[in-house]
Amino acid sequence: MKLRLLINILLVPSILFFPWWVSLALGVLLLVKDRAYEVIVWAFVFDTLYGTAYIPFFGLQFIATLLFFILFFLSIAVKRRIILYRTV
Amino acid sequence: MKIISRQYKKRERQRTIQHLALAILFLVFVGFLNMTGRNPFTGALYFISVPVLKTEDSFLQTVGNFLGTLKSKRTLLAENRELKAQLQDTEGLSLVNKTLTEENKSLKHLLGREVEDNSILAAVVSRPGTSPYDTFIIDVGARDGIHVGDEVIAHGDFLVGFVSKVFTNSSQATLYSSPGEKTNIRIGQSGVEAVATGRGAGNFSAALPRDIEVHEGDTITLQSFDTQIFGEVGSVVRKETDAFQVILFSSPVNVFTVKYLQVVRSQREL
Repeated sequence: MKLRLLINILLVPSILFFPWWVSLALGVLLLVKDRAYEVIVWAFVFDTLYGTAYIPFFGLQFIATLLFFILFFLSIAVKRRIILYRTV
Repeated sequence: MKIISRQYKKRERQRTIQHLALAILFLVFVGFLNMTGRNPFTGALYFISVPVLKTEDSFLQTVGNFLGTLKSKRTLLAENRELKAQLQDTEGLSLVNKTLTEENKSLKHLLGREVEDNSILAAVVSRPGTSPYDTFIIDVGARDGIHVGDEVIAHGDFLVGFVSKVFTNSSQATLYSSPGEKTNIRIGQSGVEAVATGRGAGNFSAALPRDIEVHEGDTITLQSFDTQIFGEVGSVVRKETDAFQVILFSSPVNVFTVKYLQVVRSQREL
């Protein structure tokens, strides 16, 4: 819980001041935690702040949001197959 | 044991359905925002974050000043000497540049093609590096007469991008080098016309028929009345089997360090 809170706190300055890959790394780290829905919200904040119609992605403005959305569900699927993450 | 397993499976199925419903709802929401291009959170987020982002430069300056005091006198003297020599070299060039600019202006005036300077200085509060999408956040907005599509210039002469979002006190500018962005250019003395495609971080590529002669170091300008330098040919890639040659070049402006930009306000009725 402490680590989750710490990553969430760190994500604020990282989105505003640090290179984008720091936020990406922190986001991926947050995905390790169980059901870290907030990572999608952070990605949405990131895209709202910096996003523009990105031509290589057919004018999509929410690339990070979509990426973390996919990663989030992928992480759930992976965790279900890892015995250490099973709660029941 | 069997009952527990069934209950567990049922609970898991319900949870999955809930997740899927939420996911679809969220995707629809994001898709709607993307299609309409109107994100209701953007204005509020810029309102909160731009004043915070402005503190970054002053913070870095304070840190820089502190680190500067730690440097040895000998290093500072050597650096000073080197910078003085560089300044002397560029002073001459600056004078020539100034004279030619004045001459250019007076010639345009004589020919009735006066160019009105309607630009406004903007401080960069966030630059590429923090943003992976090749966008700047600048501290001028609708209040200063900025519109979507206004051109953005760096160091007075180099066109680097355009305004893509406007808010009351701030705006977002997208670089021409943003991946996939197309810009019409002229290459070299011959003025061969081509379309440059952005490759990110101030880099571009352009395809030309291989028979056209292009050399490394050729100047690249924009297809406009004003001579605006866009870059310099960095390398030319030719393959024996290809009918085209690919020209790679980069903007003369370092987009990762630029602190101020000029926004050319378009003449529109307010």
